[in-house]
Amino acid sequence: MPEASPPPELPPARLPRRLRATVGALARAVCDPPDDVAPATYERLADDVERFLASLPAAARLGLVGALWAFEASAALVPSSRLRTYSRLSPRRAAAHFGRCWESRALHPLAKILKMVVAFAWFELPEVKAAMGYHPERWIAEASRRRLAAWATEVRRGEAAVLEPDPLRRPAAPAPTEVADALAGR
Amino acid sequence: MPSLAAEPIRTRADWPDAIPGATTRRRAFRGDVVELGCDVVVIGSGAGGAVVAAELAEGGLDVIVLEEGGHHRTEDFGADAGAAVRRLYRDGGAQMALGSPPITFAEGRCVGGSTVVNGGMSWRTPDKILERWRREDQVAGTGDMERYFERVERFISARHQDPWTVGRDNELLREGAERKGWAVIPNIRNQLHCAGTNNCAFGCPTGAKRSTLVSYVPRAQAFGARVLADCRVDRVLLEGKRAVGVAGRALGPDGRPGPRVVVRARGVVVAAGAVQTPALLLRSGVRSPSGAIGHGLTLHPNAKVTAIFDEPVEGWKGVHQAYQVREFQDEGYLMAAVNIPPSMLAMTLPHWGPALREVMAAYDRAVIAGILVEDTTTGRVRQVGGRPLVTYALSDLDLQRLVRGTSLLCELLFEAGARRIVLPFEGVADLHGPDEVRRLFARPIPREAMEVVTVHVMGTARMGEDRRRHVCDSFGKVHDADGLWVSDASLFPSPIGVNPMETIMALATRNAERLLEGWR
Repeated sequence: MPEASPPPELPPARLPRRLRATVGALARAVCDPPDDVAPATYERLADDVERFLASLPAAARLGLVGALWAFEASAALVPSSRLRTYSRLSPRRAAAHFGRCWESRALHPLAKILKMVVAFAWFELPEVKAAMGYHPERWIAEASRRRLAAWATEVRRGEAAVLEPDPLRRPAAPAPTEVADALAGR
Repeated sequence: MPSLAAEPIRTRADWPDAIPGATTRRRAFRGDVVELGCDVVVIGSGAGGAVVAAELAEGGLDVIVLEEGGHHRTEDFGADAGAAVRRLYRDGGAQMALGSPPITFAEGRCVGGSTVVNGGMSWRTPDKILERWRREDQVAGTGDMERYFERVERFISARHQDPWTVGRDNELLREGAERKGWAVIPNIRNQLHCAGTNNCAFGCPTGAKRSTLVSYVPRAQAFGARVLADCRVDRVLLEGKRAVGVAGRALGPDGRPGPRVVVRARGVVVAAGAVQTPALLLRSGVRSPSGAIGHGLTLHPNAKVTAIFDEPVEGWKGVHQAYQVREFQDEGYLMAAVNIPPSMLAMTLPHWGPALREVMAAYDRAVIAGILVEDTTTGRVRQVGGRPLVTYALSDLDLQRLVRGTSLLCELLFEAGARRIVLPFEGVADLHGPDEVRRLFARPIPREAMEVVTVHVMGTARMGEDRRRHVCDSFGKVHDADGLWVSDASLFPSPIGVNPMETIMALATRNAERLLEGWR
């Protein structure tokens, strides 16, 4: 019977539209991208965060979604926001609000966790990696090709050797003596 | 002789109908139960589980390996760190030991376990550690480890790296150490002509890293072991003090909970890692006379710095951790260059906004280096609501050692030519020259400002001959229980100060031999 194909990822944990906007607004504040980033990039970012959420245990997932809601709502409590929630602030005000939370002893853990999630997802986006000149897949392909060109025979031999029989040597049971020695500190 | 037609690894797509030797009991309202039988069931397929499984299967026992994670093959691995973290790591890599500071830790959850995602360092247990275990914990047989190390090293190809695969980040680390006059050594790694793709933490895309996925798991299969992936074990089945099997649950093809699974066996080997193993023993109702299941957690706290150079470094081109700085090993410090992808770096840097963008713009000129500390305190794993809860309070002494180790690492990197160093301490400004290193000691760094991580968790089901102090005997058998063994880093009576994989594998080999000798 042929082996199964690799297991698919779990389906993403869908976020409400409002929280997808929160993720995008957080990315603007945390990662400070250029102004000309396409809106589709922020959609892909939110998709990536949803996939990450799906990999978390239920309690952590609920906690993180709760943290996003709390952060989204927290902006409305600042008088100058005029009751606008985080995703509806201008980029300048959004960055300022994130900064206030980051500097606040009470809110820093919340800001830090959200920063970690968003920054990870942002720098995983292919277009962001490409803009940085980071193309690890090209290097992997090149290095892999060189390896096989130089060492194919030895690699095959080594891979086969691991399947060859070589039973463990079984010395006559020394256990009682060894244990007694150990207990006696010898 | 090894079987020419080894049973393939079974995954969620196969449950329950294509599992060899299984019978399915249909239940009207509570779902199906898949039942299997064997001599020994091994829980986990990483450094401890796969080795035990291979040795026992070669010794003639009928072995089943149950792995909670999925089966991902070499050709599935690539540079997509996000997908790899979601698929290969437990809880998306987002596990945490609670304390001040909280310590992020990572465990593999896939066929091959953490050996699929570790850095591939293969170091023998230091002699002083083996001697300490013999002296303080009465661990038997510590003087007879040589042949087990040799056997493991043969199967995982432990050797030095081919020199042309060493990247610029590691060369800069070596140059800095040599200019300081510090001892620096090439790492021994489990690799077969590693290509230097620096993708170790996300699955080796060439198979050169000889994780158990490509070494001991196929070896176990070749000798008849059945490997079943996507199956979480919920508890060890006990009859009195005798382990008689395990019960758990497989995933269905859609990733949702599938059938219940019961494996009846005369022996149970728990090799789920130093967090999951004690949690499983506790929720199974295993009682140790020591009362120490889950106690004694040690974790080699790590901190990392990001050093920006003027020259191109491109740290992703070349092997992960080609060298270790061993100058301070007697003080309990190791240093290494540990390139990580931009996403992971951005996530952990203490900056945001324009400051983060500025550092990330220099990613191709960055050397990311880490300090590992052999810890002097312990934490605990508890069982809460069916999941492990990990707590660990870093001691003041270890905090000071992390700061001192970080300062030494900064000195080395400035000596190598770094222009700027981003520290793992929030609220402490970046350093721009060696004269600024002493700023680290100007005022105490608050513990909550430290970014501490680890990938080495150990010591939560310790071995030794005193059943009032140790959970397991010298060969991994749980004291005061029959038919139940532990085979992972839980056994370590103390931290070992070096990468633990080879120690786990050598102990697993030795303990499998002892199990075979006593098998009736």
